[in-house]
Amino acid sequence: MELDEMKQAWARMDLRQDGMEALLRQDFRERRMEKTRASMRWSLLWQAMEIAAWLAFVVFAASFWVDHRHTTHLLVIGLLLHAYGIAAIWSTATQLFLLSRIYLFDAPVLVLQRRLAQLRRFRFYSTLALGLPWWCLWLLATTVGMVWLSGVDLYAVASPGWFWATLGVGVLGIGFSLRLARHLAGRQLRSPTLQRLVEDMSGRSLLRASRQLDEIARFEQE
Amino acid sequence: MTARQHQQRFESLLHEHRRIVFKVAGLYSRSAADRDDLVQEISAQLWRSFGGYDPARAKFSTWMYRIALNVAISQARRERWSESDRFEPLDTHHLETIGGGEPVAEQDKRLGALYAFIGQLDELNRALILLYLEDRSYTEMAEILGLSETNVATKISRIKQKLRGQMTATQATGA
Repeated sequence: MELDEMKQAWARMDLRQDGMEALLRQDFRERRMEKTRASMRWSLLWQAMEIAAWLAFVVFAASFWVDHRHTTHLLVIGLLLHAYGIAAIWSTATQLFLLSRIYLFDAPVLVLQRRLAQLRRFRFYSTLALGLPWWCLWLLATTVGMVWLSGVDLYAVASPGWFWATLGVGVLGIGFSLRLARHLAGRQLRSPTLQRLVEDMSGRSLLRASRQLDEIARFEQE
Repeated sequence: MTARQHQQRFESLLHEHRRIVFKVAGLYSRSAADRDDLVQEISAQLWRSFGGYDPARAKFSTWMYRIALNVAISQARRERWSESDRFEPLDTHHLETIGGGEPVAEQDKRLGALYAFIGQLDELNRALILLYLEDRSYTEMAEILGLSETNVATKISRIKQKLRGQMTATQATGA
């Protein structure tokens, strides 16, 4: 049988649409469609608030290291937090840009599938680069917070040895997180957020994004 | 245009082109329940995107095919990944969903053979064959998929060759 004969068979096919038509009408009757739009607006608003919060963080970190520029360790901590804040703004803004390119889902199939894979790949790097450092950053943020709130310098009070040892534990924590993610990878977890986090940290999401990009490239070239 | 009129216009266009949603959903789902979910997912995305639809840029059917296929392919990939990292081809049972649950073989033997053939294709080739079966022009297929017309023609010709080869092999085995 030729493909053209199959085309004739396909054209004759009588779809049973009653149930599916009812589904389409039901969506509007139950106002589900309006809820879909509202949830999308909230999501965009949330991202905008995230950028605003990181901007405030950067301004605060900058004013902190400027105020303490004569104390080396506080200057370094302030600069590190400042750099982290800038990276977080860049990451959120980039994700917002990548999301805006797929938001309507009306781009040609290959273009949109490629953009989806690029977004997935970016999220992988972003989760790793901005999430894992918190094993150490919490100590820096606490130090800054204490100096700002009460004037107590944790680095000076608790001794540099303790400070460096705690940072060392943080580095071990990063290694532990990566191992745990590899261990949990492939399992079905209850929380979708945790599932995504595990997939990012274990490298599975990057592997999938790369595979998707390869599939698209192969399809184009074949 | 008021919000009510906007919604009525969308509902009327959706009704007019509803078969696109049903056929795409049927081709990318494994069961009737999956298909119903996909129909809802596609219609929700169509409504979400409708504000950005510009009739000067694309025909409504072209725009609708793009969204329906993008949603279906993304969903199919997510499901594939959540179950295993391996592509699971559709089988005849999966493709019964498009006919509303009626066994395919009883509807038409040709259709059964067609389902079996489509079942072996990956998500992107499945989109291509769907558009071919729906008698879309090469120009529209190129616009929907984001390929050149020449590329579409080459791919269709390869699929025909593959099908011919498969049919010959089946006949040889049967003989």
